[in-house]
Amino acid sequence: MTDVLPRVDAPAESPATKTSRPWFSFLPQYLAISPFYILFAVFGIYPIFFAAYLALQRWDGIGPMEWAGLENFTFLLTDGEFWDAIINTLVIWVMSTVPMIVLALLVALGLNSAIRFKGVYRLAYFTPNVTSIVAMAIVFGSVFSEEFGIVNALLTAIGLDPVGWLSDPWGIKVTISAMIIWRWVGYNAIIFLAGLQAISPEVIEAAKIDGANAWQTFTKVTLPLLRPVLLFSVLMSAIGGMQVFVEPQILVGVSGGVENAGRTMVLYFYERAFQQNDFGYGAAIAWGIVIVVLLFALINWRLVQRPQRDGAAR
Amino acid sequence: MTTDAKRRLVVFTCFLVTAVTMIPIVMMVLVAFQSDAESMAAQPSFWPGSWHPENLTRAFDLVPLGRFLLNTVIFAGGTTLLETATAALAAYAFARLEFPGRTWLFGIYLATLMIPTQVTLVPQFVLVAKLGGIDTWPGMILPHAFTAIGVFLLRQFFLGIPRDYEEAARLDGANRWQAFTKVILPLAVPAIATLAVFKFIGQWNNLLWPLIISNSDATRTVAVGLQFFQDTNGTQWNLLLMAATITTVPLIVIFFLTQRWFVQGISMSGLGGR
Repeated sequence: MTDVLPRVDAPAESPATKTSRPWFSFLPQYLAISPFYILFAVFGIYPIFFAAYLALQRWDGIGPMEWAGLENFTFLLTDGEFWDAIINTLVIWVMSTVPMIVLALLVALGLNSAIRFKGVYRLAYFTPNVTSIVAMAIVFGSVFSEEFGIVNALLTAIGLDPVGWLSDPWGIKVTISAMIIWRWVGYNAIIFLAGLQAISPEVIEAAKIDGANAWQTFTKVTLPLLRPVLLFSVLMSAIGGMQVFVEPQILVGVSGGVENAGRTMVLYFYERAFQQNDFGYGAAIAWGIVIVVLLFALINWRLVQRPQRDGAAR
Repeated sequence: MTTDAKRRLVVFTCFLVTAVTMIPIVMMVLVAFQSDAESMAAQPSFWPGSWHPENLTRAFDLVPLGRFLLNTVIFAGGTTLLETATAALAAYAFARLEFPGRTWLFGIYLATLMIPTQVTLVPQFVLVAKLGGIDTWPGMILPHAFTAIGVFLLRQFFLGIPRDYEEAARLDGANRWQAFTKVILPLAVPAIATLAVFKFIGQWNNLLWPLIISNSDATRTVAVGLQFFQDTNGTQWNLLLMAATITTVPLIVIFFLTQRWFVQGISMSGLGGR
C-alpha cells in the first residue's frame, strides 16, 4: 500500500459531453458503486460518527444513555490500567517484531541464494500464517504449559529449571511474542524475498569488485536497498501489533493473566466494552487506541525513513 | 569459509527454521490421535503410543463441531462472496467510468482506511442489535461484506489493464456490462482470487465479531466454538487438538490450492490476512 495516491486517469470523455449530460444518465455508474457504498456508509462511516458520540455518553447498552461530556476521556487519561495496557502492547510489539524481522531476513537471504526445494520451504514458512489463530493459540498454550509443556520438558532435559511461562508476567509476554513471531516470520520472509529479488545482481557484483566482503556488501548495499520493504514490514507489524487480541485472549484470558501482563489495548477495550458493558468508556478507549496507533505509525515511519534520507543527501 | 560450506549453512538454517515452524502444527496433529491418558500424562509424549482415530468422532460428539464448521463456512463464504462482488463493481466504476462525485467519493473511503476496526466495533454492535441482527446471518455477514482495501487494490489492478482490450470489445458491439464481465473479470482472476482467499482465511479466523454477535449454536463459528470446547473439557487435550486440527485443515487445503496466486498477491501488494 505504498502507492496510496490515486493515479491520474486519461480523460475518458471530453469535458463538453461530461457537463452537458444530466445526472440520471450516470445511473449505471452509481448503481455499480452503490452496493459497496451502502454497506460502507451503514457499517463503515456511520459507526465512526456514532463512536465519537458514544464516547461522550455513559451507557451500559440497555438503559438510557446519559450525557457524560468529556468524563470518559478525562478518566481514560488517568486510567492506570489503560496506560499499563499501552505499555504491555508496546513491549510485546518490540519483543516480537525485532526477532521476527531478523529471522525473516535470514530466511529470505537463504531462499534467495541457490537452494533446492524452494517451493517446499516457501510453503512451510507460509503455513503458520494460514492456520487458525484460535487453534494455534490453544496449541501454544499446551507447548508452553508449566507442567505438561514441551518447552519445559526440553529445559528439564538439558538440566535447567522449568519456567512458569503462563504464570509469570514476563513468561506471558514471551509466550505471546513467540506466537506472533511464529505466525509472521514466513509472511515477512516472502516480502523480503520479493525485495531481494528486485535488487539487480550487478550492484552486488560491483560492490564485490570494489573489495567489499560479504558482511560489508550486506550492510552497505543490500540492506539500504531493502529499506522500503523493511519500512513496509515494520509499519504493517506496527499496525497489527497494536491490535493484538486473540493470542492473549486464548492464552491467558480476558484480564490478561497474572498481573494483567498479557492485557493489550484491544483486550482491555474488549473487557470494558463487552464484558463490563461500559460502552461509553469502551468507545473512549477505542479512540485512545486510534491515537496510539497513529502516533506509533508516525514514529515508525520517521525512524525507518530517516537513514534513507541521509543516504540520499550524501 | 568455502562456498560449499556456506551453502550448507544456508540449507541447514532454512531447514532448522522450517522444522521449528512445523513443530506446533505436527504436534497438534499427533496429540490429536493420542489416548486420553497419554495426552494428559505428566510426562508429555510426542509420538502417540497408540493411535486413536476414534478421537475424530468423539470430538464431534462432545460439541456440535459439525454445526460450528458449517456456520464458519457460511460466515466466511458469505462475507467473501459479497465483498468480492461489491468490491469488483465499485473498483471498476472508479477505474474506468466517469461520473460526477467520483473523486470525492473515492477520497472519503481512502480517509476511512486509516481508522482501526476497533473504533467501529461498539457502534456496529449497537446498530446490529437495534436492527435485530444479533445471532442472525445478516447481522454476522453484512457488516463485514465490504472492503475499503479491496476496492483500492482491484482498482489499481483494473487501471493496469490496457483500455484497448475493452475498446476492441465495445467496437465489436459489447456494452459496458459485457466488457466488464467478458474482458476485465477474466483478466483480473489472480487479483480477485487473492483478495477472496485473504478474506476467507481472515474471516475463518475472525474471533472478535462472532464472539460478540453470535450467542447460540445457530451462528456460532469454529473460532468461538473451540473456546467453548476448551471450557467444557479444559484438560482433554487430545479431543481439543483434534478439533483444532479439523479447524486448520480447510485453510491449509485452500492455501495449497491457491498458493501461486497467494504468494504472488503478497509480493505484489503486501496485502495481509490481518
